[in-house]
Amino acid sequence: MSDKITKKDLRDYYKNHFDASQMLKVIVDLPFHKREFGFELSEGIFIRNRSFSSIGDFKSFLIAEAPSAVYIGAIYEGAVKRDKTIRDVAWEGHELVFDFDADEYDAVRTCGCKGAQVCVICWSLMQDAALFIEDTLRNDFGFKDLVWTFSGRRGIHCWVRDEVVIPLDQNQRNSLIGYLTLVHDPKGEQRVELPSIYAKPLYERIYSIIGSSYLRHTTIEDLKELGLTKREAGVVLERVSQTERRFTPREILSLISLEHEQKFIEKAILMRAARIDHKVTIDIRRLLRCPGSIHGKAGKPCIIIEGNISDFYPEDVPTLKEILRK
Amino acid sequence: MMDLPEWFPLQKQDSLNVERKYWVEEANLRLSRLTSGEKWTLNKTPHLPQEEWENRVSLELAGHVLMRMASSMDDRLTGWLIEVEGDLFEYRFEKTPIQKKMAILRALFGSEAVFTLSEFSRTTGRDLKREFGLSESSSILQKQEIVYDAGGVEARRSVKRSISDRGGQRRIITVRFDKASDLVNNKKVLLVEGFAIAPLMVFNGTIKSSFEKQLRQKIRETKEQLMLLGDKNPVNDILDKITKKMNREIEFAPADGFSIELLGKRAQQDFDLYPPCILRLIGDMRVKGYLTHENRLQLGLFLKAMGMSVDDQLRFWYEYSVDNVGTTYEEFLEKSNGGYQVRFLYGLEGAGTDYKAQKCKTLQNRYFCFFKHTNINNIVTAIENRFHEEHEKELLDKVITSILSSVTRGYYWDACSRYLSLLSSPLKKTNTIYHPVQYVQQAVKKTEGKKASEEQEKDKTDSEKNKTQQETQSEEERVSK
Repeated sequence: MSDKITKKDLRDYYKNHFDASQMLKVIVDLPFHKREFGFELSEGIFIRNRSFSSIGDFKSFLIAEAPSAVYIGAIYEGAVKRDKTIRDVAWEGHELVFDFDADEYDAVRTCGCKGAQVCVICWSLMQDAALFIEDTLRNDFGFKDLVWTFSGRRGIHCWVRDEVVIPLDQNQRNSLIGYLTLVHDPKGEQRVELPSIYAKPLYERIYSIIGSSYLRHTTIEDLKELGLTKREAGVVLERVSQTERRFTPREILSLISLEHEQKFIEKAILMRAARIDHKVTIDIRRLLRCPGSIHGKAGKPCIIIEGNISDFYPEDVPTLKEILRK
Repeated sequence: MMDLPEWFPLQKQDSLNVERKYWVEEANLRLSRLTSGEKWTLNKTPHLPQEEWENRVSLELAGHVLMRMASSMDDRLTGWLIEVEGDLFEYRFEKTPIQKKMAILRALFGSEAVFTLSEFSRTTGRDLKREFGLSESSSILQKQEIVYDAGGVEARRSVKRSISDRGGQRRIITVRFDKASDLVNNKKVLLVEGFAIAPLMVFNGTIKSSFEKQLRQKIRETKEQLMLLGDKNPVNDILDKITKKMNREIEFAPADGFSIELLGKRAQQDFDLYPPCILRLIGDMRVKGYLTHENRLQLGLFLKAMGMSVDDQLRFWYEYSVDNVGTTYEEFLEKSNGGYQVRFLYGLEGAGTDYKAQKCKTLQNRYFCFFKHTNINNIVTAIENRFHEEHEKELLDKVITSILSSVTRGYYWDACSRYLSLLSSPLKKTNTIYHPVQYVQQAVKKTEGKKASEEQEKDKTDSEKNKTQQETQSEEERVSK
């Protein structure tokens, strides 16, 4: 049986398996007609400026057109249409979304994966990033309504639905990116930026999440590259592996000089800090993959990640063919 | 009811409590004070009768509102008014007591977005003193001081120094993250549960920007109302008079769409005229061999604004990037897909958009501003390296101190104009820099002025030298006779 996804497969999926409640978990509760949608109807045919008066109409459209990709857009003052596009109708808001993909880590992935490939080793980078972002958004920004989704291929999205974020403009969204970005130009220069001493919680989080994770993944050679002697590196790794008492990253790093500690933290950030796709967050009219829909190229659904993000692995998500076979 | 200071010009006013016959006079008075750079504020002295005080407040606000109306139809007048009113606001805000400052903050940001530290602690139930060592006022500074014990051994002790905090500038306040985007973006504040927490003075730049933004909005609304009224507006004649006067009195900095003719060929060839952000990008390219996408865009659009043709710019990228050493120009073109990116900037590829160079505000937020994105030590080194031969150390240190003061307060455009002043007369006030091309225009003017006065000085010295020579010669002739 061929793995190629057909229109029939998609129609079958949207008719019998599509769960609109997945979508409703990421968008704020507003009159449905105010929301823009976009679709890839088939290879290369893309439409946007579509709105629907109800979820029923939306579902009917999915069954009729069987699109290979479904996207959610921003909220507008009224319904957008082909002849009354998003440029003609006043923008009202958009959820705040953070997107990061495995390929953003190509420069530092050591497992051999590239582009859309993902393995357990490089997926742990995404998990670290998610933990760091979630903790920062909840504690530093005070957001409460966060939902994580898997895009269906190689990335994850974090949707923030708190009331305060909906009207944020580009500059304000950009400031969140600035706050969360520790590696600039991830595909080129890869410049590490440490926060100022005032951003204390962020600083502590670098130790407790990124530093801690890098300690678990580091090798004696990595530490020697930072200038530690073989003996010093050995002592550090011995503390990391101790199970009787768990040492905090600060306690472990207190064994080495301040200069080496600084180098270690910079390296940890370079290797494991979140690499967010800025454009997705900043663009207030962005179309984002709709949870519950099928990622046409990957053949898997975009889904809400329930439970702990550290326990989620993309390979656990069934393919469209598997769903249909069930 | 908020306890706003009387002078605060954005508070709601139902009408101008001033007789119509005084309107032009009041607007003109304010105009001449603003054009002269005067800074003043309104204070009620104990012996001033209430009626007189109210009259002064009404005249003050009427002057502001009339200028707002008169400038609303002309973008250049609007821009000028926002800039000078912003400076005046900044001056007055600094002189205002803390309670009124908080009222202004609540008026600008919304009462749900500003709290004192104790209000914030009460609302969130968090003990910020215990968690972060914060107290309401940072006027007591904990300092480490080196002391010597009886045996002359060096020790450190913690001492508390009380410092003056007039106006509550060191009072710790909390402002919701979306109202302090720049500070959040640069990770310059403590952020707790969505609120940026810092001494009030850290927010000064943000507060001024917010005032200017809201003033712009008010002017926009005024414009819409005036357009609706059209010829039926009964005060058109008065507004006309004020607008004409404004146009006569104000000396404008060059507007957007800077004319390359004004810059002359010199600007394309003399890197000394370029702002520090651009010099740094060119330097980075020569050293590292590449720039990030944003940096390439910034430099490319700047060079385009300097009048460089597509071909000249392609040559520029080829010659200045160390990555191209050993590569022929043809190979470079092939590697860069026929110079796609450069051609894109000129609207010759992609959607055909003819992009303009970004203004400073955009550069500060999304691209590279030398003063915003460079470490303080590196700023000092860069200035010293560039200007140490041209200026006395004492003078240079003075300018560097003022630049750093602007940088730490977040007034990057001010830092840039002070930097520009180093090209000729460091202590002379220069226009605020809001666009890198405007920087070049000012630099051309300044250096030409300097060159002219140097030549004048040289001519004077030469003529004195000639005169002395002639005198000596005639004296010699007289003696020989």
